[in-house]
Amino acid sequence: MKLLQASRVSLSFKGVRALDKVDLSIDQGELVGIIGPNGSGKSTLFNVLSGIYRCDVGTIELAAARIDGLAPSQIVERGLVRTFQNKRLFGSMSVLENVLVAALKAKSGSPLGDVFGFSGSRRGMAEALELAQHCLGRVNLSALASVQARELPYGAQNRLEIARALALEPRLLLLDEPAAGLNPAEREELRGLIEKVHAGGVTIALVEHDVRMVTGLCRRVIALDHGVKIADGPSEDVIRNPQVLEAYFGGATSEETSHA
Amino acid sequence: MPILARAAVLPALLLLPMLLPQYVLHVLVFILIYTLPVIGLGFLTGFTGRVSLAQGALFGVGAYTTALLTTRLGWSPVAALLPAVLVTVAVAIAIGGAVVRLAGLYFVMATIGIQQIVGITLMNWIDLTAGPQGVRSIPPVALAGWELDSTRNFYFLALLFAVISYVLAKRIIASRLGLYLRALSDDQLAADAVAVKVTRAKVTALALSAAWAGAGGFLYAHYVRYVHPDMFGLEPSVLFLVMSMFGGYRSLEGMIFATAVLESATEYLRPFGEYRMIAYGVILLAGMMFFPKGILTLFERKARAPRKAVGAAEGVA
Repeated sequence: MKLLQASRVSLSFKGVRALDKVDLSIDQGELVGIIGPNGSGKSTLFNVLSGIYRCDVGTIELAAARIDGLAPSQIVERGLVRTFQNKRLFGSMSVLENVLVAALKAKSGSPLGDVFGFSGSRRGMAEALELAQHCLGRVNLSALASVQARELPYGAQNRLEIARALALEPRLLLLDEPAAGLNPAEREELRGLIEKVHAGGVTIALVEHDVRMVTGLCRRVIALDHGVKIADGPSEDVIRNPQVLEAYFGGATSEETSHA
Repeated sequence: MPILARAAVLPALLLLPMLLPQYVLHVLVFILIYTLPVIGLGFLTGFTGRVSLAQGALFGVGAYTTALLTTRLGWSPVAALLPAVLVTVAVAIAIGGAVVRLAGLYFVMATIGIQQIVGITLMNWIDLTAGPQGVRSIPPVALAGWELDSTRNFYFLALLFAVISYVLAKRIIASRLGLYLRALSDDQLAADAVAVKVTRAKVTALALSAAWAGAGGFLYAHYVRYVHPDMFGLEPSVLFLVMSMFGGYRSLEGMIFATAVLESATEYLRPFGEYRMIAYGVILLAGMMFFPKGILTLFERKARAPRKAVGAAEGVA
């Protein structure tokens, strides 16, 4: 079953094509890697899918319902959740509170109900708290629940972003370079975590620089270059695709050809 | 604070009127009154990260609403309380709802604009507000035939308002709205990405800050029993902002403490006339330099220096 269907998505910034007629289709249950050199449009694609940017042309459907043109918070409510390449945590809040904010999505109750202790609100808050703690457990952060997020070591911040995303109960999770800045041990741990989340039934699209990590995790890989999709298929084929190799290793002279 | 000391606060506050001289009590009443707009501003400034210079004007809207309802239409003050709060909220949302999306300095500038609009309206809509004459003979609050026309009696009413507003604010901050506001003040884009309704949360914070200002203005009007546009200019706005920020980053107790310190300073420095503003300025500068997280940190045993925020200021793309 198709979960995400993006068709001919294009976006320009001041005349520069950031995305050029990109088609992207992701099935329920897939774990798809998206690779490409710096500036190839990977993060831009995520920003378009999650509603931070609006595409100039093209349509995006999540579970057969249009989501292009919706606000980011509405897209999240429909189940498309993302993390950010440069960790965007709520620094002044505790680790648990970071996840709790997300876990409150779609829980019963309201601020007013919280203030006056209405039963619906109390129940919603209790459920959210339970979900938040569960998500922290999944990423091994339970012991640090009361630490301020900005005091966390980098690798743990990374896992906190993933826990916060999980608390939104995603159908499709977009991970934007989750391994950036991690040491090899942390990378290995992250790999295991992503596999675990995927095995738990979450469809994942993973933008990653580290080709080895992507090919190790994902059976299907999509390659972008200069905003154009240049390859899409089984990972072993994609990494041997001449256009992909050229995009990664080609010199300045080959730029024109890879663009074509 | 140890629990015992905490439990002693309220009885002590209730006993104060028996012990203190009239003038000190008078200052205390003002402290209690100002607690309301200051806490209200805390919702916006401390929790939402939006600095407002319109709180004095909103305080004035509450004061004028009750002043006009009780003097022109002969309403009893008790009946005018809710309208005073609601009108203030309505004014705040009508002119502030659109600008609350603005970030940083733009929001500050917009609130100065709101301050001006309210001030000019109070001064020039003479048919309604009596303009520069002000509104005189505002009746005292009467509860079951008991007129709160003395400082001593009014003190209890102001204390009641301050306690209720403190407890309510405490609960609001602990509610999911408090979480949303803190989240969006830390990182608005991330708040959006976890399905926080950012604009709705901000407008709610604005409405709450206005409600608290309106209730404070109500008290002020029935204590001073005279209102004039000049009372609600930029000066009280600055004062409330300073009290709210000086007091403590996201600490209601700190805000109340700072209100007490700064309002006392204002009163006791009165003999120095305009020069007192210099002393006031020095106190402020010192406070901002040495206690940037609020004056209450003075009493914290373990003052932790925040470590550097990692990757806090990077862009989206």
